[in-house]
Amino acid sequence: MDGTLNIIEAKNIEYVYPDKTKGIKKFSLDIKEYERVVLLGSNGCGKSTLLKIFAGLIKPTSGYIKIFEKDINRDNYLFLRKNIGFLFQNPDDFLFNPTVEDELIYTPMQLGLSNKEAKSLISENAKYFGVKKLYEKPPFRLSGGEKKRVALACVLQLKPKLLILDEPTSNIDGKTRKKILQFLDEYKGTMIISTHEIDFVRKISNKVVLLSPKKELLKIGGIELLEDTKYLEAAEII
Amino acid sequence: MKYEPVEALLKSASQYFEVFFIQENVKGPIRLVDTRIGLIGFLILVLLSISTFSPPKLFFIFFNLLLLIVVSNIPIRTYLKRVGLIPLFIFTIMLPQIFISSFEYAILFTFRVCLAVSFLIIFTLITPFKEILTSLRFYKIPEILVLTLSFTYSYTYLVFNELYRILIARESRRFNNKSYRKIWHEGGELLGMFFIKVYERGENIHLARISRGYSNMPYSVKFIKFNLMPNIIFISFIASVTVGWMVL
Ligand SMILES: Nc1ncnc2c1ncn2[C@@H]1O[C@H](COP(=O)(O)OP(=O)(O)OP(=O)(O)O)[C@@H](O)[C@H]1O
Ligand SMILES: [Mg+2]
Repeated sequence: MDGTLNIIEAKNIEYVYPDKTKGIKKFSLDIKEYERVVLLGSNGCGKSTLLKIFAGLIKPTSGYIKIFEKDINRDNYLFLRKNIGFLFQNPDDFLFNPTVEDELIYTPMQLGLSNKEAKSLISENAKYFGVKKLYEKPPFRLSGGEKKRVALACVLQLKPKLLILDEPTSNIDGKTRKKILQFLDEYKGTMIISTHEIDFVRKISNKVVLLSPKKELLKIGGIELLEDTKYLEAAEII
Repeated sequence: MKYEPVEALLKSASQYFEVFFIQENVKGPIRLVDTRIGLIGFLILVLLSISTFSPPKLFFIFFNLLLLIVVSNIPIRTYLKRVGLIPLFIFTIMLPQIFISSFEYAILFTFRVCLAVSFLIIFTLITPFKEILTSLRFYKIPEILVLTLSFTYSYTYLVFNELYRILIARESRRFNNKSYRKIWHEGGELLGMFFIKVYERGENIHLARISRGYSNMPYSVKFIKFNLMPNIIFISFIASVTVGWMVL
């Protein structure tokens, strides 16, 4: 042990969906604590699938994976849930409570806070992301971007040790994008993000993972990888 | 377009059911009554409504229902919107009874069911759903029943929300003047798609729940601070309705 925690250790993981579609093929990656990783790749190359695996929500069909140096099982369930924040690509899948306020207090209450504690915890972040005025509304009556903001507020407010965001900036207006950037800039934990916005990557990450359209790992590197047009073209990003 | 009326009906129906449980609770003085006491009180009112066929008794209950609506601050329009087509629906089911028993029987039956449903509607209108669940747990109702109820609650919106989206999405890309055979065929496909989509979305939402710390552990909700006076008034109200019902 060199002292830094291994957040993700994945060796040769594969995921096959029930209809036999391959979600991701033979993928290996290590992520250490405090790394800021960005997944880049074309549509359908397996980013969302990978992120769900890293969040411990689905188990790879084959291969080896440890999260926080732990197996994904019942005993570690609570630990993983407390320490991982995960934003779904599609906010409609993410939001399921009757009102926005219920959405925001959902996780704090699941983690055992009282109603009052939960409400005071969420209040600051709700203001930050400008969702406080939406408190009473049912989430499915919001605009696309508003949904995304509510979902982001839900995940970010807990400042989990591992933050996994599936396309956090799609559908988002400029001002909110700035706020997300600022938030992520101040955020101190480990981060894994998928995105199609290369500019965004430059500002927040220090490790780039390129996926090929064939759903395989193409290249891992630092931020300078973004200047390598050969790889970016192979990944069909540009 | 040939099938527009059906679709329009489906669309408004799905919108109606989507928010059936999920609506802002009406805030009125009756909210000061403890939910556990309210639950029992309203159950008594429901029982009183469905255990009689006597017109005086039913009208007496009806009078008290109106009183309750006024006291609860529930706008009559909200109430009527909620009750919706339920009377018509029940009466349609009761139609054969006109010939088997009597017209009066069908009317009275419809009336008493509407009364019972009205009390349930008022109760759900003034009480947050979470508090109802917690009250049920307080009375040691088996957890499996409470959980089922809470799932029904969250998935009702999902099902109707999905139906609504599919209808809208289709409308946005539809062309005119198709043959009835084609419409029939498409309708079947639509239904199949609908079920698959609801199922898969349900699955995704289940993952989202897990990612957000969902555990089977029910968490309890704090009730509003116990106020003696409103509770006493409410209990006396229920008691006097019961006595009145027995005397009439
Ligand atoms: N529920 C599912 N059932 C079957 N196949 C699926 C399912 N979800 C995704 N796939 C398939 O798995 C592959 C990877 O999908 P994934 O959602 O991980 O892509 P992605 O990289 O996130 O794409 P995007 O940039 O469009 O979000 C795709 O070929 C997709 O068709
Ligand atoms: Mg994706």
